[in-house]
Amino acid sequence: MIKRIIHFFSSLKLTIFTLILLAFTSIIGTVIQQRQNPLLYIQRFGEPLYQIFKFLGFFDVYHSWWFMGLLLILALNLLFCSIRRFPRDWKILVTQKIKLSETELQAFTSKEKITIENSTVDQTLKNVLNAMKKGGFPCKEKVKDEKGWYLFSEKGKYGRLAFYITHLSIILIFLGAIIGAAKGFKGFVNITEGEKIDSIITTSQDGKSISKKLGFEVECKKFEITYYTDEEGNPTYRPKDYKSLLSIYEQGKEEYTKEIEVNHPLVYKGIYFYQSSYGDIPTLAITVQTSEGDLVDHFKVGEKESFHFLDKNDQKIAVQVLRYLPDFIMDQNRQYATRSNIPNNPAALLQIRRSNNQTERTWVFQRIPNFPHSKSTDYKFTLTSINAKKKYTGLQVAWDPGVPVVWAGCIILILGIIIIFSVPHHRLWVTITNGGKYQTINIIGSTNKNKPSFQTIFLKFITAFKSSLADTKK
Amino acid sequence: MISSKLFGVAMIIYIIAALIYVSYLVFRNVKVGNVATLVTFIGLIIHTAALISRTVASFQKGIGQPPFTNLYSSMVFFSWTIILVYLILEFKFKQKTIGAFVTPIAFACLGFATLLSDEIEPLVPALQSNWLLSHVVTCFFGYAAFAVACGISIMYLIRVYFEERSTENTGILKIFPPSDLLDELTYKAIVIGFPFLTIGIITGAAWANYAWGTYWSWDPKETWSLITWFVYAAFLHARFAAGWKGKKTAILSIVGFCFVLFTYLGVSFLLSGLHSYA
Repeated sequence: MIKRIIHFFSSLKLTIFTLILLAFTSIIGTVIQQRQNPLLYIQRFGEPLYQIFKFLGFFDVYHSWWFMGLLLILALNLLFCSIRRFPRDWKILVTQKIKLSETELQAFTSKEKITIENSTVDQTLKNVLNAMKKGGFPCKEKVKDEKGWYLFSEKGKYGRLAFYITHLSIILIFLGAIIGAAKGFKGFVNITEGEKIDSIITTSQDGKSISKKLGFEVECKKFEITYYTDEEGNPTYRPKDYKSLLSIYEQGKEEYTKEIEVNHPLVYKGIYFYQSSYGDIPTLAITVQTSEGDLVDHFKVGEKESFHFLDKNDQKIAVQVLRYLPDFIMDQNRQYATRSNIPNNPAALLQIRRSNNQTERTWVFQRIPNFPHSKSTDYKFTLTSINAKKKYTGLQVAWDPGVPVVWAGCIILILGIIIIFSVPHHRLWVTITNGGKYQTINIIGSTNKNKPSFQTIFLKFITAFKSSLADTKK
Repeated sequence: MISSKLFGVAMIIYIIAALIYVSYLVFRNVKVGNVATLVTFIGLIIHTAALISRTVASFQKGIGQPPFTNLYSSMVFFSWTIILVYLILEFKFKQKTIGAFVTPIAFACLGFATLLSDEIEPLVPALQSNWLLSHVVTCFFGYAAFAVACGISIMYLIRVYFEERSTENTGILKIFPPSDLLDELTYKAIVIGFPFLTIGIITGAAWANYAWGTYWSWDPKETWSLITWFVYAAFLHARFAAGWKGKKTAILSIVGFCFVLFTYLGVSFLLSGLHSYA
């Protein structure tokens, strides 16, 4: 039973079958968008099909039980193949057989027989050794017995190990991926220019956002963006480059500072901070007037921030900017939205709270200063200008302790593949059987891969070998 | 642009080369074969000059990018790698007949490129990386080797089709190289392509890790490149170890190249993902 299981898992048919199956099932995840909102799927496929697809894991193919199962089968297959093959290769590497038996000699396809007349065995040995060298296969080992000499030569012996390093490197890559999935984390954080954060937002397995403490603080000291210029040298809206100057603080003490940009992350304690996006933090300038037109005050506030002033009776009136839309529109569902991030039609939703806790809300528009407030208030609010100079930097944060293992696996894989195809193990046995006045020379060649091209090499060797022997005779 | 005109010239030269290769197939005249190789080589030189001039133009515009950062330029580059890989194979294995099947592919790529805009566009920040060069070059050499393998496999299937119907050594059978040789050459081309594809995927992963913080995100382009890798890995195991030969591996090689084409073009046009810029 165990033998059959080993046989099953080490079979080459399983390798080919698993690879082709992996190829075709991987397609599913590129056709169906992965990890979307269930409602979107139901809308698209209908409830019954949705349930079937969900059961089959089609909405998260690459993490489904059966895909993992296929990868596991592949890993086991690699492992079993290597284990099953190893003893044979080890024997060849460590204890090369120099004297082949008659039946072993018959098993090879590349062979040649030459008879040398009128020579002594010692003379022939000398000539053969010389001829082997000339043919490109110098003798590595020789053994003598009562029948004659047994000579052996080989090339690319350690090429045999490429099989193992190639296949085990893939297991190493899998291991790295498992380590990363089990111990690492991925998240993001937005930091306003000039501010510090000490935690990031990560997504849990079931799609919920969780705040994660970093154990240190990160400050965005500065954010800069440059744009491509057009033919006349005017800036366009295509960003050329954006950079953040980040500083790390441990217990309030500045430890490390680096300017990051796309493709150039900051690394601290193995945690990578990647520049991934940016956005505006607008400051709104709002003027408050009484209904008679007398100026009360000017205020500068950001979104979600508040300001307050006192009315005629010295009662506090607090105003909060609930929402800011740079390019205000009302969409088909009569929802307020923004068309773009360019301030084409800036609008703010204000919430006004009086001392008696009575609240009212109103929209104000920069381009339409006389747009009537939603309720009759005794004050007039005007959005006079928008300052969008302040920005936030969007960072991806990742810690993946499996990455070095994955890279090690990748580098070994590349080396392994190159060696596998370029370093075959060629072996050559030459036996000299002494018949007194004549000697019979048997030449046998063998390779572990690509027999046809070895045959060419073998024939070339034979030609060189024979001509060398012929030369020494003269 | 001067480079676009040069690409046009290269395109015309390749179609001429293809015609000469076909006449070589028919007449089996060594001189005709040598002329075909020479013409292809001249095409390659002009093609190379065009690539260099496009790169120089890009630097002059202050963009400074290698010549394969949008569909037009990558197509032009793909065509270049196909011819280069083919000429290397021809030189190594002394088989000129395959040229009749490979030069038209290079011609078609350049022809397709002429339908696209040849504008040199600025690079989005994510593409401004030293990884770009190694990633794209290795991928395209892999693709080119697979394209050549596919061409040879098609020749193989055509030859076998006629072999099964006729015992006489006439017509196609007289023109095409023996099926064993075609089979062997398919395998050789894939052996060249596979390490390149592997390095291409890995440099892509390294770059992704550096730029996006994750070496693998199952984005459609990544996934399709892996699918292609699976198919060719299956081919190599079938051929190398299990001793499959002939029709089965020829079909696998053609399927593999269809997957390459989908990875390169299909994904960009039909599926959405991180590789939206190329």
